Amino acid sequence: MKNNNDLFSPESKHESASRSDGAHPSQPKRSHGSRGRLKRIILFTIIDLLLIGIGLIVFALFHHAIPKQGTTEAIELPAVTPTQTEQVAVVTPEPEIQPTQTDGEATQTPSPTPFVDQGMWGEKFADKFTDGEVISTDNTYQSEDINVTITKVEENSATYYIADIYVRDIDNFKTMMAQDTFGTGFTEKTVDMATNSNAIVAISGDNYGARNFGIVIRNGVLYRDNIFEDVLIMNNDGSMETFSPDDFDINTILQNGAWQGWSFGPLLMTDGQPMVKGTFNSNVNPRNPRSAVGYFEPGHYCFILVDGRQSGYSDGLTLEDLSKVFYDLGCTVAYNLDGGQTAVMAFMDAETNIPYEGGRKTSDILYIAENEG
Amino acid sequence: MIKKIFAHLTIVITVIMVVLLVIDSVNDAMGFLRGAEFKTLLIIYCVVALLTAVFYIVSVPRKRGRYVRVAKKKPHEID
Repeated sequence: MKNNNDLFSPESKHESASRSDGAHPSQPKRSHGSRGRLKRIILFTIIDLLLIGIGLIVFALFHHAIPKQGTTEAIELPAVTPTQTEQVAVVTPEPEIQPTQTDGEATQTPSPTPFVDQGMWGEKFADKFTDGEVISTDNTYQSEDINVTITKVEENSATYYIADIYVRDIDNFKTMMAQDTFGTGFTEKTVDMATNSNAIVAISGDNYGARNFGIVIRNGVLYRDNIFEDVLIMNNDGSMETFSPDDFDINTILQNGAWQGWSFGPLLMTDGQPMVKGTFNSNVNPRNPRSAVGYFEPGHYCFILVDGRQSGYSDGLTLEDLSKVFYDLGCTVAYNLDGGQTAVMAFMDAETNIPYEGGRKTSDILYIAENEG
Repeated sequence: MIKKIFAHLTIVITVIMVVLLVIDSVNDAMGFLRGAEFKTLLIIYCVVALLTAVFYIVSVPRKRGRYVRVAKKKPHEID
């Protein structure tokens, strides 16, 4: 067995003086065994870190990346009742007897339709719609059923886009699921979904497919009814309501005629008033890209898309700032949807905003479109 | 060897779970802790932790016995 005193032998001193590790010659030289152990520790640490990375990727794959079709049975909710549609009587002039130059016999003009379907809000917003023609510019769209105006706002190092929306009928306010399939992991780009659905304006939704819980009601079909955080419900009379998890009751909202339902949040206004920091049901209050929807009255809505995380262009908005924007616009209900890199607005088949890092695919959109047929 | 593998697996799964807990505390909208995947991970973690503990417990008495034997040796018997 080698004695410790050997370290001070002339041979050892010579070795110590020429050590390349920079240690003091009086320090005992680290043995090959301890150096090997250090290497093994580093090696195993690297292997462990790699395994942690692989484990997280595999978890994410199974959690939300691999598409899995929803297994629960979708329930179709009652459609909009005819009494909710305005039937406006049109004063029809008495049929005129017009003399003809040919044979002198009187001909009767065709009787006009006694009632004109004004839709749910056609009369209320008559000045917003055209008589049938479509007027479209770079930031506006006006037809007999829809009126959309996109406004770009730049203030306080933030850039955001407001889509002011009037619709004649609730059928003009639609939602779409990626690949037309309910489930987790199905995703598409917002602009692609908007193009495929002939949307006038579209905004990224609550990304319901990233989770397997939370209310999902789309176009009158209940897909998922378990609660998750704050909820936004659009009823079939065009009204919107937000609920905190404690206030939410699925039976009540179904009885009230839920037509659309989203789960993300947080809700941005309470009793028509803006909210302040600390009162939101969310930890994500710092400035961020955001996607949100606001409600003025039945038939009048707005989408707001906030760009963010882009220094020199837009830092984004806090939840408090966003709440105040909706309040200043005159909204009575406002609700935050999935933001960050997901936040994208599309108008007439093109992206309106500049999404953070090009945006990412999402599982659903809210959009405004003409009714087919 | 297998004892070491399970010890490393315990470290790996623990760190994965801590990462998921931190993400969930920042943004729970992803629902990492609510899905079936996290429950599966939790079950795996329990099994691995249990086996790691069993291997450790099985190995400790042997060591203690050896130390005891070494201590009982007379000073001149210790090389």
